[in-house]
Amino acid sequence: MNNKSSLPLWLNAEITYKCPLHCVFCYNPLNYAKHDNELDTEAWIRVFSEARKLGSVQLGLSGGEPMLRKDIEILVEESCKLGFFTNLITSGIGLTEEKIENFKRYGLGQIQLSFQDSTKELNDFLSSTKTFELKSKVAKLIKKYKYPMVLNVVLHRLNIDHIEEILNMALEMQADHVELANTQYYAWAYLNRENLIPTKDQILNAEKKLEEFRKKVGNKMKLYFVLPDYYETRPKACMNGWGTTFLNIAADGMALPCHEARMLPNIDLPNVRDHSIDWIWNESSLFNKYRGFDWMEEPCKSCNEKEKDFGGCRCQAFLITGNPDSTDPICDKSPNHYIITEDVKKAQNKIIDKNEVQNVIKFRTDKNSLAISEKNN
Amino acid sequence: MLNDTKKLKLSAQYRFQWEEAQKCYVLLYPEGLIKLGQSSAEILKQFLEPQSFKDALSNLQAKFPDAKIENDVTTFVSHAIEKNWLEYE
Repeated sequence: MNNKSSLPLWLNAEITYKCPLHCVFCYNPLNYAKHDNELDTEAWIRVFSEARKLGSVQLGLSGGEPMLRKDIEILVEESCKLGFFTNLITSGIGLTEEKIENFKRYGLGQIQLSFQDSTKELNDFLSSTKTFELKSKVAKLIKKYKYPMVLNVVLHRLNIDHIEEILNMALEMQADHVELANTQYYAWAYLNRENLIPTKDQILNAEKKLEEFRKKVGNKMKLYFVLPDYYETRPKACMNGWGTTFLNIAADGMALPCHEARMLPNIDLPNVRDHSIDWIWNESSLFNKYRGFDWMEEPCKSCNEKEKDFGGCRCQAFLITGNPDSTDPICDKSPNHYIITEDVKKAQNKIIDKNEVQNVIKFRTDKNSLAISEKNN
Repeated sequence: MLNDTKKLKLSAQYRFQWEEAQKCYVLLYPEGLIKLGQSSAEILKQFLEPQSFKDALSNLQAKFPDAKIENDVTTFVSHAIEKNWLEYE
């Protein structure tokens, strides 16, 4: 189905795969280190301009760590000039006061600061560098320059018990929006899922703490808590439907309908070096592949909820079942749902030693990435 | 209750702009977008610079002299304040 009425309202530009952190739940592709042929400044500005003409209005500058791009100021300035509402999604590393001030002048809409945890030790372990103090400093600067204060904390088994400290930290930083999203198990997080899936008790406890906190602070802070979808029985409406809203451009120029789609088998990935954004969005086989409902297999095909969740996530279906056309196995109508429940069951009984886990968990590093690429060739 | 003499303006978090691709005005905020109908857009335009409700209403009345607008404008502005699209200076 060629759905021309939809617009790529959200353009996500993963302007670099380079990152000073080594998060164990990173959603960048496992073989990211092989895709180091980054688009140059001019190419990015052309992408922004073409997408804007097509109707993109929200721009995410993400990565990797977008602050590692030497031309980050130019990219922010040019995107704002084009009329984007530009969102910088950063760990805060490399974000100096001078840059924050300049970004404000250019018209940057928000800085979304990611935190791995609230206590310094665990934070440093989970991102594997000493960054917590720096992030606290950046948070103060974000306030000083009157940006909305958006904190993004990725939750998982090893930090979810710290939710109270995380919330108090957010309060101290005067955060306006706090997203406490459990890890989604793709890429590095999928690789490490055995050590990242929280137990049912951990989740119940986190929800209780969250409720208490909500009562305490009222609605001056907007809190979003996202369950790990392995605990759900219906899939998420991934990307609001394939090719309906979201356009992701990876560091090397590959255009994707989501962050993860480059892992899908037997597909032609269009690159912005070869094609216009208009062609990619409207004509390319990739963006049309899962538009609408014609591609669906059972049980999705005859399901009365298909217009609500669009069959869930194609990448998750592929990761877990090997078939990207199948129903997202998060759905308990999927014949493969048992794989999810078994993973969850395993998590309940698993004993994790925090000293031990450091040795078995796979950090997102160039070395690990290259070794994985090598193995898969 | 609406204070009709205190100046109101578009909240700092929000941006108001025309979207050619959608042929409408929108309100943009971090990671989000609200499409605006014609009358909502006309009302919000009044507050791109700080202005009191009273002055905004008389501007709008002058612009649309034949329309009975007071109730609709009051309802919308109250809603916009509640939603934090507009804030008192």
